[in-house]
Amino acid sequence: MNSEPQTVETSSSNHGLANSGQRQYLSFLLDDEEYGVDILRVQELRGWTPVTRVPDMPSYLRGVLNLRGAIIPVVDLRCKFGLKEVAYGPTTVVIVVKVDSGKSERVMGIIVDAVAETYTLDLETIQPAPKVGSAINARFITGLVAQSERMIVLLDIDELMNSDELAVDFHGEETAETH
Amino acid sequence: MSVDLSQFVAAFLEESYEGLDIMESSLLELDSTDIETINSIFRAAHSIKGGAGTFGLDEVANFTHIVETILDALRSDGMEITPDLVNLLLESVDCIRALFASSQGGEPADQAVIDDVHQRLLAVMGQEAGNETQNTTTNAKDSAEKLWEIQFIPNANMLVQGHRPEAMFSALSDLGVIEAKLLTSKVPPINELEPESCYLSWALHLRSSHNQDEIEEIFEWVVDDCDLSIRPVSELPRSSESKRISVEFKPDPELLHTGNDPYFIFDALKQLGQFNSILNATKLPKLEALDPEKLFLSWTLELETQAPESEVRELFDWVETSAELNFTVTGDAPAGDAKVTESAQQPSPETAAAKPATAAVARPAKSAAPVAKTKAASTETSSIRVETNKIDALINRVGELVITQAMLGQVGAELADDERVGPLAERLQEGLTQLERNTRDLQQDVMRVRMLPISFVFNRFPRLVHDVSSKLGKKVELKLSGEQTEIDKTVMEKLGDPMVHLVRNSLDHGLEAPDERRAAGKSETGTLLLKAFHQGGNVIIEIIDDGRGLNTEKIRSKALASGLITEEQNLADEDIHDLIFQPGFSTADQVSDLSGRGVGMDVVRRNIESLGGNVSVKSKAGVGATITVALPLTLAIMDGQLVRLGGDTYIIPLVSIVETIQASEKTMSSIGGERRLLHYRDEYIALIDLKTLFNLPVDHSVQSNLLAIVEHGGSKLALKVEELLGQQQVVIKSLEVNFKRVEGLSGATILGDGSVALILDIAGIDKRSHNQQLVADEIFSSLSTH
Repeated sequence: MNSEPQTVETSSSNHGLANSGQRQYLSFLLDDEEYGVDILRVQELRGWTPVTRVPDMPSYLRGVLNLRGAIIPVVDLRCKFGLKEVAYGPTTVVIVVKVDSGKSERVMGIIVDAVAETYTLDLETIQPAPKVGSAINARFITGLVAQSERMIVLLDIDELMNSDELAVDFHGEETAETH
Repeated sequence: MSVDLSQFVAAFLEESYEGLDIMESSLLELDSTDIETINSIFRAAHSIKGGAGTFGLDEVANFTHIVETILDALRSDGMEITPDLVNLLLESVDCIRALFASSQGGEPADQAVIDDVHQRLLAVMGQEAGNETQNTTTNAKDSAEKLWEIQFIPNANMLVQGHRPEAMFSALSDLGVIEAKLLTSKVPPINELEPESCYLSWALHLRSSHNQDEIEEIFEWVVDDCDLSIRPVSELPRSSESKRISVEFKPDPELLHTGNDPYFIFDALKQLGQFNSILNATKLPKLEALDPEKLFLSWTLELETQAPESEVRELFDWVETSAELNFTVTGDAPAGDAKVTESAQQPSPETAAAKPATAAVARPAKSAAPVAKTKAASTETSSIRVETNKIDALINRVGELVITQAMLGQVGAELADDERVGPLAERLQEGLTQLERNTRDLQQDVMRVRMLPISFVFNRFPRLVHDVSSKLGKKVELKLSGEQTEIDKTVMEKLGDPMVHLVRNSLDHGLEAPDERRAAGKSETGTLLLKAFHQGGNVIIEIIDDGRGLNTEKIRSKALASGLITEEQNLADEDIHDLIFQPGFSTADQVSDLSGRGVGMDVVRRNIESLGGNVSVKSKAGVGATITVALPLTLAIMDGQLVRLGGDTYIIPLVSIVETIQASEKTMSSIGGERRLLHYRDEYIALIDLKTLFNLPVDHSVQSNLLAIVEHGGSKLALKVEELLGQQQVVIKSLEVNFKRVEGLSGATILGDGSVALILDIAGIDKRSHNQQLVADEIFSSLSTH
């Protein structure tokens, strides 16, 4: 059901090679774990506002949001990663990211507990993700990095946001039949 | 220095394709007397040739050169226009188009076809060259340009009869160069003037190669209502004999007391030729010393005329004693710039008095020119090229503005209810009302930018009808009406193919062959009318033919044979006719390469419904059929019914709602334990609970039997909703841009409070419910069998 993970992979590794050795990451918190995303993919940060539910979507897909006239889907990362759900509060943040979806670039929101830091990381310090069994699929993770005694999980936004129900060529007909 | 031409190529190609379209449409309406049309074809061909040469498209340039040569022969050498020649020229337009397409990296043009057309064009050209020598000897008299003098004195009631002199002049100007002189001697004083009478008469000079009959033909309709004389004259006694008479006219201050008015003289002078006057107001006293009954002005009058000096002097007979007159006669026509200085130097009372007179007198004479101009204007409308994505960005921005305005309006309304705010709220409210109006106007204007006249679609049909009818051996007259009706560009782009289908169908199935028509007591030539007009928020397009109509029996038997209907079904004729829109339906005895393959009408209906429109057919056996296509003006905005479902707001397109009803329990029947059918006006229609369909939380405390009856593809559905909210115009946003297509939803919109509401897609809901039904049926059957 899922599409072209390969294309996405190559594009993200190209990204790494083209760089001069350093890259900036924005980190955020989920249930006391710290995750990082490429800061160049982050379009903006918003406070949590109620979204419009889209019928028949998995529970991590919270709905759609009006971003200055554009309709964008919003994903609850806690839910997606199988962490326990918490009520949204004043620190709850929607990180609006740009996702490379093959032919087009899509704008999407991810709901996180709070935004933490920005880091400038040497690419050599990034370690490959160990193949551990967890709710987080290993292919969503580009690597791990230790920063001031904390471990930060670096996420591959394109992999993450093109997976499962978020895939572009995920046909409506198929949805109907699976239910 | 070399210039990079590549940046101009796109513009050139676009222009060339437009030029080809002009050539095509003009060729189809061409008839031999219409020099202007030939000229416009020639111009189009000429610019294509020129451009093609510049951009190195030699093949196009060479080919177009031959076409241009033939067109030139048509317009200047009086080469005869035959249907064959028109067909050949049409084919060459296709060839040029193909050559362009292949130069752009498209399919390579079919060289054999091009060579064939090329050879035939050359043959025509050779023939023409042969004829030319003949022409010069035999037709020397006719083809030579002659000067005709036409005296045209209409009766007073000519205008009442509905004749328009300017139309005749415009027709005359198609024959050659005309020079019109307006004679106003019969115009009575204003208090006796009958606005419906014609007091004007004309003296015309026409320089033309046409003969007297052809000129008389133009006046054919008015010949009983006017005095007309047409005679050839040797040469206009023009500039060579015209002379310039200059008159220094210094009237006595007492002139007005004698009952004379200089303006009468000036008017009379105007009749004699080109007249200019220069006012000299130096003797004008200070205002306080001004005696209103005295005349302090003097004039220098300049007249360019063929009339003898004595005639000019005669006009001053009455004032000779009370004015100082000084005549100078020069032989040469004045330099052109004399006029310019004159008009610039005209100050004071003279302007006020003389100008209206000039204007009134000049208007009818001038109108010959404007008529010719409007004709030209309709082919080359003034416009600028703008990329569509710029316009779309503008429309999106305005959409945002509308939403922001709605948001502000809501805040304003809340503030107005708040007592603490006081009078400021009222002022805010006023401002907001104004903002709303302006936003709405702006939105409409911006939407109109995307609107194009439907002639862009209609224009392809003269050619299509021409080709198809000659292929089928039918005589068809195509009539177009309402081509200026505007419709959104996106709608228009998607409208072309369905329209082609419908028109072909009418030509193929609807209209009969000439002998069949004759046998039915109709005229041999069938009529196909394409008609567009606005109705409410929709554009209606009708395709009307006067052919044999739909064969109700045949459709019925075909439908029975293919199992679309059953023998027991007692269907009205309209319902049977509607079956032609069912998939896989065709009644054509033979499959032609035009239509009859059974893919057609269902595709047409699907395409048109995807545009938010609908299509229906009305037919009367032996009289003809009318296919009606109704389309929304634009795809960007739609009228929606807001409904509540499980705490969320959804939007049902208003266009698909038949009605909303509060159904009683007993009209809802259940099959297999689930409530799935509604007995609605003598039919059973599927009942869909949207909340169940969308897996929304079911709140059992809300018990409502509120149903929206919607229609799509000719069938009805009943949608169960929780609550009906308001109706409003919504800006349609895509879900796909940042998300994906969701079955059952056609998009989303943003409500006044900034939140997103989803728009229901009736076709998708129908499909979705079918799928769910299948799953349910499977479960049910597996349960019952085990």
